[in-house]
Amino acid sequence: MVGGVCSGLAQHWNIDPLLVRLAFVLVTIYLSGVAGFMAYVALWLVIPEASAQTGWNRRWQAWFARYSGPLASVFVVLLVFTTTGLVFSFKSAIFLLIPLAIVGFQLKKRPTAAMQPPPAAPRYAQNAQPTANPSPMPVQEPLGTEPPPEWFTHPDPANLYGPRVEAVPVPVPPKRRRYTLRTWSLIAIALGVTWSGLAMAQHFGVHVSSLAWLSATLAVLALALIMVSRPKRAQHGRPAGLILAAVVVAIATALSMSSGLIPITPSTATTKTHDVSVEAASVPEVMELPVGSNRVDLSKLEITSDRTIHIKQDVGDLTVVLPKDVAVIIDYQVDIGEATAPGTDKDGIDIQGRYSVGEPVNKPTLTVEVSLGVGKLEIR
Amino acid sequence: MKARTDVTALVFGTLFLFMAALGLWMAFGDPSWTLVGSLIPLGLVAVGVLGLSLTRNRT
Repeated sequence: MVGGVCSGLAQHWNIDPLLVRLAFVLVTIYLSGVAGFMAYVALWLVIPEASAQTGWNRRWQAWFARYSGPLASVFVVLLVFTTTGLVFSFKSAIFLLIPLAIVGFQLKKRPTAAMQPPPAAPRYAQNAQPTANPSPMPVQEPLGTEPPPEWFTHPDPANLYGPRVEAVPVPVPPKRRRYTLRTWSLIAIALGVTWSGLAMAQHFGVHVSSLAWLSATLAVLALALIMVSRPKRAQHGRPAGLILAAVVVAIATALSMSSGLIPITPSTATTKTHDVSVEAASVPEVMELPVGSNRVDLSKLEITSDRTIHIKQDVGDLTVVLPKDVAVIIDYQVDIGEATAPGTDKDGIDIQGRYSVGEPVNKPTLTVEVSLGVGKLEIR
Repeated sequence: MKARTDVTALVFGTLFLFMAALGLWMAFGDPSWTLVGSLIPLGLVAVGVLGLSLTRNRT
């Protein structure tokens, strides 16, 4: 919690603050962090403080008081997201114009009761008789014996003219704090044991990918959530930040999983293929290729002694054409994407493999080490 | 006052546990996507039923 915006909205809408926070995090991640930050700051300025009329931004809220609070909040969020998205050329921001227009139309169409004209002044004595000689001065109507119900029993019920009353923070019961600390301590121990197990597995030769680390962390946090949901533990309150930490790790895990499922290849329609043809006379030891679509043609390469070539590319498509009459060993690694060689096709995360052609007996061997960050590798 | 289950934590924990299990399966094995495709809807239904049953008569 930073400015209490999400909890304020949740209180206004009478829903769980966790849902508002989650929705805010998801929308922020979907569009951009900058837009989320700006929306939060804008709402922080707009939404009144919990300490009633003494908030520092109360002067700004006169305009917003004329409109429905939830609609105005949604309108501000959409406006900030749309503006930021359009500035940063996000295509998705264009689609936000439609809900923005709808909410804006509704905002103008349905003013709240605060926009209605004030009711007519009450007449306290309905049976007052008009005077016979009307005078230019207004006639004061006789009041009843009882004070009218519109009168406040207290002259300043909202403390508009009194000294500023600071909000008293609600103290956290020490028992709840102790339970939170104990739960986080147990989570730390469980995470330590889990990560030690993964590190030992890696030490003994098991390949542990980043997805495994994230999934194991998420499993520990998920088990902790299930443990704290038990009635006996739940009565002491949910540990602060546990769901938020689990959501963050879950998003990271989902991104890691989806990047392994969806091969990321840049559009070849807009990217020029960069051809690199290697002749016998010039065998570079290291080739660092630019981002995009590259094709390294080694088919005309003739070597008289063993050679090693390193080919590196960060993002894009890479096609390597191997020579025919040369013994070739190619070791490849693709961090995220797809790797295709004759007879094999792999996709996912951290792809490693070896492909060899020809018998290296009485022949010089060409060793090619290919490293591709994100994209598609094709070996021909 | 009778102690009640924290349904939000339970539902989120169960969902995240499913996701973590799938992630570990992807990391250390070759998941059968046919099986995953049939387990995910069933798991969602189970979690939804669990949440509905635990939040019944709470108000």
